[in-house]
Amino acid sequence: MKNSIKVNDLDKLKALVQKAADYGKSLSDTFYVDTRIEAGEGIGAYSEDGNPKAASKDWDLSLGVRVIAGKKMFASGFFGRQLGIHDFLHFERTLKEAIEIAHLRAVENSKHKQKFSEFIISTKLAPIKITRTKITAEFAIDPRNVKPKEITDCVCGAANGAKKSHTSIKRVEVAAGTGISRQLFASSEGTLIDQSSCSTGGTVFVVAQESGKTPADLYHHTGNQLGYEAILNGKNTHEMTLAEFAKEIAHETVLLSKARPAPETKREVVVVLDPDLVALFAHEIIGHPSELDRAMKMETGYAGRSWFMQDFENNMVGKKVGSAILTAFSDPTLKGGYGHYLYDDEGTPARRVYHIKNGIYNDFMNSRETAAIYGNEPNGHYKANDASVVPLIRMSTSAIAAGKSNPKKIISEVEDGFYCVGHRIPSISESRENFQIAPRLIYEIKNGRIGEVYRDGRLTADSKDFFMSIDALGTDFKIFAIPNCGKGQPMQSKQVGNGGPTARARAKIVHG
Amino acid sequence: MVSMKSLKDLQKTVNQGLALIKQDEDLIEGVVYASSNHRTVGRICYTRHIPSNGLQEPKSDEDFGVSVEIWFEKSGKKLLGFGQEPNDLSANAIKRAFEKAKRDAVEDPDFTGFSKKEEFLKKYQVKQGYHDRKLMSMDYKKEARLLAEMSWNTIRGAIDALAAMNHEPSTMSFILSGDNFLIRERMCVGSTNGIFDTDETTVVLSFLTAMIEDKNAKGSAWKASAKLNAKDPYNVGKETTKAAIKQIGGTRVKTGKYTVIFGPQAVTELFGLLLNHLNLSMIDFGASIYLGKYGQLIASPLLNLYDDATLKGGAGTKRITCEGKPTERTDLIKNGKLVGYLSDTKIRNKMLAKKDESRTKIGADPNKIPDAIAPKNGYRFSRGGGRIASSGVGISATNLVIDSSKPILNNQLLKTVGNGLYIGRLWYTYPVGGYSSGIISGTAIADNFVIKDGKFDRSILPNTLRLEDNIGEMMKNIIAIGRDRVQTILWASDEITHAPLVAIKNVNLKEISKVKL
Repeated sequence: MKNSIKVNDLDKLKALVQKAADYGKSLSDTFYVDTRIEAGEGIGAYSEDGNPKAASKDWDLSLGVRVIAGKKMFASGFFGRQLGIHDFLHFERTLKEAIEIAHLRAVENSKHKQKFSEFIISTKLAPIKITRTKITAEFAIDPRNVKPKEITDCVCGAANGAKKSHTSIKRVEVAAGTGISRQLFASSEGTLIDQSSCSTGGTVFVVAQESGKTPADLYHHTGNQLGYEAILNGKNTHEMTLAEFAKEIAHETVLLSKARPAPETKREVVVVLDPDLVALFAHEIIGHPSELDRAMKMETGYAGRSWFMQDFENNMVGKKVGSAILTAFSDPTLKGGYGHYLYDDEGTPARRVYHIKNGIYNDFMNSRETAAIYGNEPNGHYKANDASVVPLIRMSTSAIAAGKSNPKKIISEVEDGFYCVGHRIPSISESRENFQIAPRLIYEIKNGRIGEVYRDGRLTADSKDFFMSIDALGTDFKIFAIPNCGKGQPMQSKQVGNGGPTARARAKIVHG
Repeated sequence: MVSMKSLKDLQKTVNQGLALIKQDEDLIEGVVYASSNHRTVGRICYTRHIPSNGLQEPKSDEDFGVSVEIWFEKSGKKLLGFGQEPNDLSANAIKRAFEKAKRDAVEDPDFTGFSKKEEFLKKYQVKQGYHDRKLMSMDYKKEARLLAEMSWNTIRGAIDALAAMNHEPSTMSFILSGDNFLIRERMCVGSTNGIFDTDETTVVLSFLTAMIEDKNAKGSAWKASAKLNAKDPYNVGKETTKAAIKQIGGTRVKTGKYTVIFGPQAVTELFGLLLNHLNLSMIDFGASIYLGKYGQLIASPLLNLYDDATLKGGAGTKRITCEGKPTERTDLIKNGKLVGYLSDTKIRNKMLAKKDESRTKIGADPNKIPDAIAPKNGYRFSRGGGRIASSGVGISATNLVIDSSKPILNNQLLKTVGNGLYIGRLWYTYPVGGYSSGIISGTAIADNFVIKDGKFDRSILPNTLRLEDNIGEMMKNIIAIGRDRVQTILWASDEITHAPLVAIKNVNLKEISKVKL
């Protein structure tokens, strides 16, 4: 009797998934069908102050179908579902049902659509190369072999070590997980992608309080698209084990708890950002407004628009948006965070897209549908949390490119300014044209030396002014694992990768 | 094809589950939970200056399953474990969930037991059958038709509003974006402590944003209810477009401190942030701005804040919590004083057991304030809608009500303010200074006006004002609260906020975004 789902079980479904896409195409007025089936196996644990609170070793299986159909105008319909063992054992029926429901929705949508011929288009997809390939996951320690006691001991040890590292630490909570997932994608065009990857990471939450002062709270995450070695052996950008990382965040929280609130600056001042903070800037004010669905107003009601595009005639493409040393891109082929993959969730081969090249705005991340409307080539940025939910245009590894300056010199050249370390919490305006982003720590720089640390301050500026003021970028490029990028309705909280080098620019500091 | 599992199926599974776990001689206490949930969304994007699809995504995702949570003794240790099986309610599924729970169990020193039936009210305040029966039993064919109709009616509403206001549609860079969202939930919970109960809920949500982009004018409208109303989608499309048209001719406002009337959407955003600080888990964690402040004046004496899962006609109403407790009202702030917290059994029991630490964190002996920390808010909300068996219990509000001992009519509220600003919609408002500091920032993105001599004057351009303030101070600076409340939803939030207009003095606003979009 089957007791669980393994990622290897998808081997048994491959042929069915291929056939199903053809079945879908045989339904009335159908232009296109794709199906995704995804299986995952993983384990996680949670500790509070060194005490275990929960552990779970489990599997998941999900299914998603897209149908584009219609008599006079094509429209989309989608269906998604979490699956169980019974669905797996009767997969052909499960999949047919899913396709039929998605088809129903596409047809009903199309009936209404053709009454609105003005301003409404027939759904099309930009062509891609038909591919049939398999990509395996990369790991040294297979997540499937990690036992509940191992990972529980890991998080408890990390939390306990961090808690005991200083008397003013009041609470440390550590959550960690490691897993492997595999997705089969098949389309009625003939694409069949079998893609697996690992994901391992840990999040640390700390509260510290000096007697009589306001507590300070921080959280941060480390991880990689590798096996358990990412947190056990420090195979992550921070180059720390989970225990070491927890202590580091605890140390920062203690620093904050003792620090004075950040001063407010009336004017822009020189700010130097470390790569961890630059990663958040790359995410919030370059990556997000470079998502073509946003630029095309599809996210106006939710995640906002993009100041890089008003419409196809009025936009920043080919125009200066930053200093000549600023180049930024999204590249799913880069490893080091959570943004690596070779094919997206509609089978498009993933490739680098430059958003900004030497200060000039260049191009957007896209999907086949948005590429067809915009008139460019698909670049493979259509991704979902799992197969049961509809993909969106998502960052892959989105980053500011390395520069040529020595990072230490970038600081030592500053007479009067601030060194801003580590990303914390952002607040960005709707089209990403203005930001207020909190670093974890803000240090004063005086005559090239790092001085007093301040708490709770933020950097704020209009995004274009900030980009134009960048006058140094370091050689120390790093990619960070970002565990929680929210987008979509219902909201999907996606893992992505973001990065960059040390950067120097100008912004105001808002008081803590 | 009917998408939802029946209550009978869920009850059968829970009964079987309880019978199975009771056989285990190591068992101290256990809970079995079965659920079936369906989320249907029609995501809309209709634009006139960029080609669009109108109804961009008619979609759904769904889940059903069973979970088992057990507390048992093994080798002298008391262990707590959780296991679940997706999309399966069979006896084998229960067995597998139980085995996972036993295998992955940990020794949580803070755990002292699940919900006890003796703590429950004897009477249900919400009777069964408050959901929309037609929606709950809808098959996929009817659902596909309904979803398409709702979505295209929303677009029709918007177009009719444009036409009625004599604006030439072909020359406008008009955007309509948002969604109609249908949630169907069914659950059954049973425990070895004698709890066995069920609940069924339907939630119908619409949230739309309209923009006349070349005029930089943006408006919103929404609707939240427990039942379908055929006219709502069309009306929401119409209202959001009218709201956008009202915003044409906006002005900029200089940096400064202002008396601001926050509209229902902005109020929902602010109080959604405040709710974190009134969550007993956050008090325990140590990052709430209300540490040690039980019973103290923490806000304007005008403010009453409570969560009420029993509210008649509330889109967030539930008959029982996911711990099986008949729902009640949870008073949080009364006449400005901190009187209660959102809580569930685990955190409440932990606070009671660690009395000295809790006394410092709460500011009172937890044993002496049982009502204030009573576990009335334990839910398994997840996946953006639904009470999900595979999720553990967490703390959530349902119908968050912002009220006052002295509520006033909206026109009186405007007169009270005299000269100030109206902010209709805040966005991306986060605790940028960390939770403990209370510092928040967000952007005013739509439906904003200057108030002059107690009346709405010019509109304010969207995205030109950034709120930069402290949530605790803002609560203290409330000067008036409206009487009329609107059920309002927040992206990615599970609660429905019954939000009036709220006027706050000395609000710190910064002029931003000089770049022309």
